Amino acid sequence: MTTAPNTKITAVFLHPRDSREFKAEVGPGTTGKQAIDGLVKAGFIEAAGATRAYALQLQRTGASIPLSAALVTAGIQDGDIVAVTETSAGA
Amino acid sequence: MDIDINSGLFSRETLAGYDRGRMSSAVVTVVGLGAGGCNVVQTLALAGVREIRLIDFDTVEPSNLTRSPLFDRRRLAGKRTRYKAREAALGALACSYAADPIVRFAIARFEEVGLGALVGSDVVIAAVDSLRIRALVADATRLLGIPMVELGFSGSRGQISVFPNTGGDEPCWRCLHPEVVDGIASCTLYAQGVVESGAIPATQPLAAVQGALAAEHGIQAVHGRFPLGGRAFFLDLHTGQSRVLHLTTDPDCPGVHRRLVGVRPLAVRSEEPVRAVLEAVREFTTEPVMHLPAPYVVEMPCAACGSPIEIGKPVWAVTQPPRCAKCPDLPRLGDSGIVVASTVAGDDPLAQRRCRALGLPPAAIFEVEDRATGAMHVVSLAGGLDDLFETRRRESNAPASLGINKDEEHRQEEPT
Repeated sequence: MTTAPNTKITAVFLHPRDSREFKAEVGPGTTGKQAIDGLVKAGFIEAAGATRAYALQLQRTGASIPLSAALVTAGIQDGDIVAVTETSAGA
Repeated sequence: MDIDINSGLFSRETLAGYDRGRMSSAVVTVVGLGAGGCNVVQTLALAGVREIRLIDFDTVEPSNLTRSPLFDRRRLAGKRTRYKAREAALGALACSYAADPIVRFAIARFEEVGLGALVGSDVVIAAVDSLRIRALVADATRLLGIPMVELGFSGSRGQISVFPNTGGDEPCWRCLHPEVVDGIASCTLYAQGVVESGAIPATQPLAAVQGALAAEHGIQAVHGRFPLGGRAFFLDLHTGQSRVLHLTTDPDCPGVHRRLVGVRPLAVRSEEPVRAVLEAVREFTTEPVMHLPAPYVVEMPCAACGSPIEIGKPVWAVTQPPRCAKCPDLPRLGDSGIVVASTVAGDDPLAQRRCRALGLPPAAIFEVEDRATGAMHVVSLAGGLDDLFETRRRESNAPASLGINKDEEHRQEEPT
């Protein structure tokens, strides 16, 4: 089943470090970057910066979601689980 | 019992699929010699990688020692400034089991040595603690078609990712992180930032695990194998949880998705003025314009009063907000008012400047556009690895060349 591009969907975001989940409504035009910004604003994850960067992974396929792409266009369907991954700058 | 190290030395590695012929000619470049890079290099040296090139400008701090197995504590005693690249290189040479190991090191920023430092590498391992530099290494390896392995960690968690860089449509590191934030000038500042943010800096166990993973995938890349190609692997050392992320190409990726081909070597040296380059390329261009590898900052406003100040440096060399002599105390700089040059044509006053001053080191690889036809040509300056790296071999403690290194106090180095 595919989601009509103009439909709002609900997705569950997984925290990059623990088992916390964040359920959110995703608009048809919401991009990966906007989703991450929203998760930061909601206090679910800390702000990205010089020490970390985030990416999104569609749990169902294991594939990363380009941050510039609308989540729905990238294949996210209603009820999908999206993992937030954290890239550490430390080395 | 005496051990004959020539008998069955690499028997285990051979069984594991490491080809001795390949390893004995392998060239691996490691950018960043903090805890991760040091652990990577140790494994590469033990595994018998013949040539290891190291790039890092930073100095050794006490907190590095417990996570950097290559640093010799006896050499580090005293007040003399020690550089990570150099200490790691000497440590690698000491523990290498390659028949004729070569270590080259540059005490320099990655941007300072340029693409020429990577030429000939089988793989580049990015172990830098700056996301911006990882993005630059990603672009550089993509331009040259050299595989890249990236690693990073924090607290108990780390990640590595592998980029074969065999084709333009492959995902790159910047497809995953199109926007990176700068602000880290060194390992030391990074560590301070991590502590101030309340997080726990990585310890040796995680550095060892991540270093081993990156080294293994570097060795696989040397063999042309990419079992983790196009993927990122995340691991939490405490919980054992892991995740593999299949990377997707971002059609709007700001990174490089092309390869520089047909490099034309020029006889122009980096100490010569840019106009010499523009004259040399007249052989195959009509209206040449040189594209600088990094923007050249002509002028910036004073951070305090806003008056224009002449800078005259590549952007990566501007590490502090400028200030007038009249304005000793300054707030943080904004971006407005910065004058930069990204190209240089023959009638530009910048054409009188030395190539080096514009961020073009020996062996620099860059593009020249022919405005008459729109064609882009790839050229390289004269020079080679000896102009960029200090080189050491096991037979000799004396440096064969000093490269780009500026650590004058180490030029009369004691034997190790």
